[in-house]
Amino acid sequence: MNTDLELYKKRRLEEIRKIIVELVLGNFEVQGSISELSDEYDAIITGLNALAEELLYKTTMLAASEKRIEEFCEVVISIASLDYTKKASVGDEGNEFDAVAAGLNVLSEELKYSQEQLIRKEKFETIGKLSGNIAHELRNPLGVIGNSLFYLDMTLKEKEGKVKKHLNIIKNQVAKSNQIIGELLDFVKIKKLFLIEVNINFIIKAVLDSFELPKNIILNTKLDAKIPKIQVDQEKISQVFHNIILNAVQAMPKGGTLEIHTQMQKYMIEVIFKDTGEGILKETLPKIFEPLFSTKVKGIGLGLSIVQEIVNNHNGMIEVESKVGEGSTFTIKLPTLRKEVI
Amino acid sequence: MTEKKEFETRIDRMRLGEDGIVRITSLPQIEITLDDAKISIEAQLKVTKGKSCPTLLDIREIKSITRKARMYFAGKESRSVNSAMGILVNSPLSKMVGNLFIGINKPDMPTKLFLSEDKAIEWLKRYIE
Repeated sequence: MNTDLELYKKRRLEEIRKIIVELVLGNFEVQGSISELSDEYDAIITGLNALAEELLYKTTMLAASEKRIEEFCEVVISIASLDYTKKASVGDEGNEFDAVAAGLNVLSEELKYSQEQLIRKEKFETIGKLSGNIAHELRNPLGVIGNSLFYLDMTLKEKEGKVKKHLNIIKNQVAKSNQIIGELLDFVKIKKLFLIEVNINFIIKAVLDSFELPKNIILNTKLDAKIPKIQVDQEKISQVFHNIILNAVQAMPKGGTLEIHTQMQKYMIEVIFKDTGEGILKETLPKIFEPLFSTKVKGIGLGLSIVQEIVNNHNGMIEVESKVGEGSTFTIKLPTLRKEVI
Repeated sequence: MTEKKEFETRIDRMRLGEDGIVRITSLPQIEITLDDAKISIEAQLKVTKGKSCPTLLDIREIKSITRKARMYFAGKESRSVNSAMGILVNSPLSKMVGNLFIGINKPDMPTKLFLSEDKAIEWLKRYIE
């Protein structure tokens, strides 16, 4: 009887020893067996099993944490290298790691945005300085060419067919050059606003009056008479509408329909320009407001940058939707309540 | 026909309480984009019938939100329907998202983070018109 008990004790102690050895070796999956006796040995083994489970959980968590910290390091390194494409994965638990991951992702997005804005600002300043100088330098010789052209036009009474044709070519090219210079000068002076209270519908009508639309373009306007007057720089907002209408016309070389709507949306007045033109490629869409970006052969790529800059200076926003072959819709939103003016 | 007082979008569930406070609950594990933000504000306009109301936004189950969506929620369009916003948070993640929303995007309306719904409601009541 005593021998059996001794054997039992020996066997259980051996089991306990094995579990401890496994734990020391780092095998936390080890689990000892519990007998039906519920004696002291079972109590010790139960404790060791719980310890093993806890250690297994902790080491698994530690490994997962190390993996996440490693991932965070990679994201931080890529942000430091100005590469904002790498994102930290946000898990489902909403724990501290997920919080850090979300924070890193936001930081990355904000830095990317700030950097893009900085580049845009620098680009704008450089173009602004160059534009002003070039435009002023070119204006004088173009003025002289224009005067000489006028003189030739007046003095050559009976012009030969070829001379007449070439005089017209020079006249058209001078007009185009003046238009480019005008665009460059507009670019220089977009920052400063001279605000007056005005009805946006009135500006649209005035712009349309000054615009000679091609005969193959049908114009539909639906201007909400109830929209309130707002404070804007009339000249600059006219320029915004002019540039967008011009773009719409150029997008419909074979004709089409241009719809212009105004409507009130809470604290914003929306001006919607919808054309049935060629549309803009999906990959081109994010770039259309970048200075010097143009898909046109003759364009210098400032028109829409000017539009966006002016709208932004009015604390407004511009949105564009487009589908190739179906047309584009530009929506300008201008606040009725002004907060600050740059 | 009774008017619909509750709306559910892809990202949230919202209703206008009898106390004049809008309660919006972000659905679990949702990643919010600009399109979602626009739909949500549209739905809110319907719930409040275009009126600007204080809003309790429960983001305790949120997963992530894009920059454009944050800007939209913090901007004028959101201001037009929200006179104030109490954001309910609990997990470290929701606290981070809430803090980033207030800290980085600086919403156009009074905005505050809360751990307790009761305290949030108490604060929002000040903004009932």
